[in-house]
Amino acid sequence: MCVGRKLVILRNLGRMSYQQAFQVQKLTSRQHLKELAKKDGCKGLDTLLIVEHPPVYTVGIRTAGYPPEEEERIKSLGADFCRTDRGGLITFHGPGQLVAYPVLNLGHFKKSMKWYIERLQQTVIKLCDVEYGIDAHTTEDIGVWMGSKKLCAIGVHGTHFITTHGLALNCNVDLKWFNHIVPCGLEGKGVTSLTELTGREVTTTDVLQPFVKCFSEEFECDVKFEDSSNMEEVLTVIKQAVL
Amino acid sequence: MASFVLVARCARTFLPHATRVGRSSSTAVGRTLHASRWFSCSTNILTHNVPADLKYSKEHEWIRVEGNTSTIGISDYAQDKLGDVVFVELPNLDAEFKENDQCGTLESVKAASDIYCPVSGKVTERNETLEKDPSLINSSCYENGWLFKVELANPDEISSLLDAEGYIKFLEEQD
Repeated sequence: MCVGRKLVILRNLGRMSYQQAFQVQKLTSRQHLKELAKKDGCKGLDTLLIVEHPPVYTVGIRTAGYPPEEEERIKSLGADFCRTDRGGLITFHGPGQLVAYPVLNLGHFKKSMKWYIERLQQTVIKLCDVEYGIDAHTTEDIGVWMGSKKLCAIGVHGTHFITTHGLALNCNVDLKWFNHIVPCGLEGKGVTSLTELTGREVTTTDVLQPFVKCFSEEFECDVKFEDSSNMEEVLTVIKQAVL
Repeated sequence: MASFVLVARCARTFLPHATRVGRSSSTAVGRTLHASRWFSCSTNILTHNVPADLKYSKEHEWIRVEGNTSTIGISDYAQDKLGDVVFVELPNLDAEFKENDQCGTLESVKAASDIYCPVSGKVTERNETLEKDPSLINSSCYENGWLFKVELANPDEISSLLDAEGYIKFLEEQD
């Protein structure tokens, strides 16, 4: 049981490929798992990774609906394609989209994926309300919505309640990328962005600080920014964290 | 089914239900299992069923042992914390696992959660009905929502799993 306020390290990875960001997640997650297994005094650091990806479509563990022919079709659009171990179906990530990967030990918070997803949704809903006066909401389909248009997609993985993957909030991403897929497998639903909803340009830089504030409120934690401009140094710090 | 909700600490004060549910079962291999009884444990006003005739892992899997075969699923507590299950990735037939190996995945609320094999052994059967109806894991986690069966490689491992009382105590520590 945690005493006092929890600490989450914020690392802004900037523009990074999906695969490389996933490696950073795995490294961070591995430290958590080593700590759980009581290996070598390792310490996992609850971390919030922020990143923007070059254009990439990703699918979750339900891959049967995306056979190789579909993969080829999607790659021909000029984007990358990745099969992942998260929940959820197909989605798009690209410039202008704030992607957040919290790598948390839910043992420090609440060991429930349902609870965790609800906190992520409420983080974004609060951000929309407080910062932009937008009345975004949840529906029976996971994510954050404005009517029948999805503003923020969510898909995560949990192993021993250590989380990876996370959410993707459309700031000023080119929404036409979503025209080539059925986002999250939901026919008849659309996508939107903060730029579209507010009628003015909203960048990922604009959104970052208010997003982090809402995250810290929803997860009742302090968020500490760590300079992550030197990736080699970041990876060393993650690997060497000890109790 | 009559439901008991216990307000006091569960480990020492739980009582069996007035109505017995489930089936009486016995095994030919040196042990007689008692008639299935349900114990309810109240943690944070939620009621989680913990059948007395099963063993449990700290990863919230249950195991029913019949001879050298075991049936494995996830507990009522686990299905509640996961949310509505929409997809199950079960281990392959004949796959062999060591105790606590990751052996599959469940997806619920856009979260893919790993499942672990609580014992060492070989997979002899999978619950194929879950492909069409994964919600059985939520609605019938101890019966129709079973996940897979394992031929035990090391039956001694069963004794190190939690019994119902031990699992309830473990759940109390979670919340």
